[in-house]
Amino acid sequence: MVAAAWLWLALGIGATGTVAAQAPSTLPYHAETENRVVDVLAEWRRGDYDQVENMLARLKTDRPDFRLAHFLHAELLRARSGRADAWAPPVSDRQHALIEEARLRWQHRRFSPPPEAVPDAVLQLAPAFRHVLVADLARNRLYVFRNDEAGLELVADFYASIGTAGFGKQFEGDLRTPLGVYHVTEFKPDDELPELYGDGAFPVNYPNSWDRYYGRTGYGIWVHGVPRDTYNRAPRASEGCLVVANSDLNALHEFIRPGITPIVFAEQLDWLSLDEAAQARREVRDAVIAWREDRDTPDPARRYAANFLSADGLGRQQFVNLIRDEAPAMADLPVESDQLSIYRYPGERDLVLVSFTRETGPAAGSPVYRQQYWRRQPDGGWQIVHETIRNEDQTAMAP
Amino acid sequence: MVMDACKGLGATLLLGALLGPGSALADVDTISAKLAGGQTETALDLAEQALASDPGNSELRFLKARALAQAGNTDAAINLFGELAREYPDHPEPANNLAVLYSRQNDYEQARRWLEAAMETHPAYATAHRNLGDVYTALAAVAYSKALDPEGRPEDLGVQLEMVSSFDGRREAASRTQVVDAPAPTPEPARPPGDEAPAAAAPEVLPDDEPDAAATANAMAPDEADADVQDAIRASVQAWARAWSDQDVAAYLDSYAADFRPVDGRSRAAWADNRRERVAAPERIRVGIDDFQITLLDDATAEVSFRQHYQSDTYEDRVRKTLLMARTDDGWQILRETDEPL
Repeated sequence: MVAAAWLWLALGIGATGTVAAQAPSTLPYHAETENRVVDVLAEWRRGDYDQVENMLARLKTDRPDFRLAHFLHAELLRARSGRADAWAPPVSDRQHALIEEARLRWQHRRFSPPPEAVPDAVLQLAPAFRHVLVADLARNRLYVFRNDEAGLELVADFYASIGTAGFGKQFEGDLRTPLGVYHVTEFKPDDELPELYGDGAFPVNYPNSWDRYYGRTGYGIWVHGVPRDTYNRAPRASEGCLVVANSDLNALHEFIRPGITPIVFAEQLDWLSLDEAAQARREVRDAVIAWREDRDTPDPARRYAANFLSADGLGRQQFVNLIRDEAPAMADLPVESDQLSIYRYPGERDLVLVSFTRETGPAAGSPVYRQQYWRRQPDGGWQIVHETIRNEDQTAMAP
Repeated sequence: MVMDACKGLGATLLLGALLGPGSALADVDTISAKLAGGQTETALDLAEQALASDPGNSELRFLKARALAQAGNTDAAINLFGELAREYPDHPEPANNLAVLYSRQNDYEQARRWLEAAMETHPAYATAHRNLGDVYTALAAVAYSKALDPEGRPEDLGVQLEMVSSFDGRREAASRTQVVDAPAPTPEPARPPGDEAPAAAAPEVLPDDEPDAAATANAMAPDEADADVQDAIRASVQAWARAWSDQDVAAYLDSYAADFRPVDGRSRAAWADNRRERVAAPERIRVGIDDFQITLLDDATAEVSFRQHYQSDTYEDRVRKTLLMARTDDGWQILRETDEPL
C-alpha cells in the first residue's frame, strides 16, 4: 500500500481510477523495454509487489543499462524495508528526472490518439513523402506516421529526450530544441561520431529559412542515439538534439529517407478529426489556388502581407515584380492541390507552411521548389508573410 | 509494509500450532478441506457440531473463525480470533488473521497492532523481519546507485544484520535472555507515543534497560555510541599525524599496535628502524589529513581512510591512506597501513 501510494503521488496520478482502454485496433510500434516498464507500473498500481519485483528483476537482467528499472526497484525495496520514511537517497536532479521519465512513459501509454484522428501539425503531406516524423516536445515523444492514399497513419512512437532548457530554440548555446518544420538531411554512422551519439545520427536542417528570417542561430540539431552505458537519457538532457534509445534509432532507418523525410518539432501535438483536418486543409488549399490565379491579374500583390520578406531579403513589391516576370512561363501549370504539403507551423499562431514543387521555373524547365508561409489575417483571409523559391533537384524538396 | 512481510507468516505457522491434546483430527482435516473447497456453510456447520462435543478445542475454534470470515461474518470472526489471540498470546496465527480482518475493514491501526503482536510472539521472526528490512534497504541503496550514479560507489549503509543467539527464540525471550550478542548497542528508533506493544505480547517485551535490536542498522546517521567510538578513532589518527609532523618518533611509533605488520612483509623491528630514521631525518615535516571515512568493522576494529598530504623539505606527496585500527589497552592503534596514489 505504502509503496503504491507514494509512487502514484510522485507520478502525479491518483491511486484510483482506471487505465484508459487501448482504443486503436492496430497499436503503434513501441519499444519492448518501454512496454515492459509500463507493465511494471500497471502491476505496481494493482498492488502485486511480488510480481512487480519479478518483472523488474527480469527487466534489469535483460537491460542492465535501463536506469529507470533500477530506480523503480530501489523504490520498491525501500518501501518493503519498512523504513521508507526514515531513509531515502539524497534528493537529486537525477532522481527527479527518473520520476519525470516514469511519469512521461506512463502518461503516454494511458493516452492513445483518438481513432481516425490526425496530428494537427501535418494537415496534408504530398504523396512523394512516404513517412513524416513528428516530435511532441512537451511530452518527450517522437511519432512516426506513414503517408499513403488513406492519409496519415500512426505506425510507431518513441520516448525522446530534448534540450536541457526545453524547446523554442533562439540562439546558439541556449540548450533548447527548435520548434519548426525541418527535414532529415543525412545519416551519420556510429564510426564517424563520438560515443555520445551512440548508434548514429540523423541531422536536420535547422536553422531553416523561417528560423533565419527570425534571426535564430545555432546549428547541429540532430536526432541521435545514446552512449552505450545507458539505455536512454533523462527527459531534458541534450544541447537541443532529440535523443532516442539506440534500438529506437535503428528502428527509425525504416522510416527515414535522408534528404527527404520531413520532421516536425512541435511543442505539443493536438489531434484533429478527419472532418476538422479536411476543413483546415480546404481553407489553405483555396488560398493557394487563389494566389496561383492572382498571378495573372494586375494585382498579384494582394496575396502578400505588407511586412512580407522573402528568403533572399526581398520586400513585397520587389518579390511581386519577380513573380510577375516568371508568370508567362508558368501560365500552363496549375497548382495541383493534392501535391501540396501543408503544416501548421509549430510555435506560431495562425501560420501554415505550404510547400510544393513541380512548377517550371524561368530557367528553362527546371523544377522549382517553393515554400510559402501563410498567416491568417485578422479579417480571416490568408496572406503570405515569407517565401523561399529554390531551383533544386528532387532531394531538396523537403521542408 | 509490515503486512507484506507478514503475509507468509500466518500460512506457515497455522497448521498444527494450535493442535491441543486429544484434538478432533479427522474433523479438523474435513473442515479444512471444506473451507479450501469453498464449502463455507458446510465447514461452519461441521465446526459447530464438532465444537458441541469438544468446546475448548482451539483448532476447531480457529477453523470456525476462518469459516465465519469466509462467510463474510467479519465481526463474529474478529470476536472469535480475538478470544483465541488473548487466550494464546504466544501464538501468532490468531493475531495475524485478526490483522487481515481489520485491514479488510480499513482499520490499519488495529491491523498493525495485531501484526506487531504476532511478531512479538516469535522474537526470531521479529529479528528476521528487521533483518529483512535492513537487507531491503541495502538492496535499495545498490539499485539507487545504479539508477542515479552508475559511475559512483553505492552508499555504504553499514548494514549489520542481527543474529539470533539461541535455537528456540520463544523460550529465549521468555527467559529474558538478551536476544542479541551485540558489541555496539544501538537503541532502536523511539516508537511514537501510544504505539506500545499490545498487552498480549507483553511477556516477550525486553526490559527497557536492555537495548533491543542491538545491531539494527541505522541508515540515517551513526548512533551515539558509534559516534563516541568514531571520535576516539579520529583523535588517535590525529595524534599519529601530529607526532609525525612534530617528528616525535617515540609517539609516532606508539601509534602502531604491537602486532602491527608492515605491508611489504618486513618484520616490525626492521620497519621501525627504518621509520625512526625517516621520521627524524628531514629538517621539517608537515602531515595534513582530511576527508575522513571511518568504517566500524566490529566493536574493536575499524577501517579508517583519509587523504594524506605529506610535505618535508625534501619530498612531497598526496595519497589516500587506509589504516586498519584496533582497540587495544593503549587505545586505538594501527594494525595495517596502506597507501594508494591520488
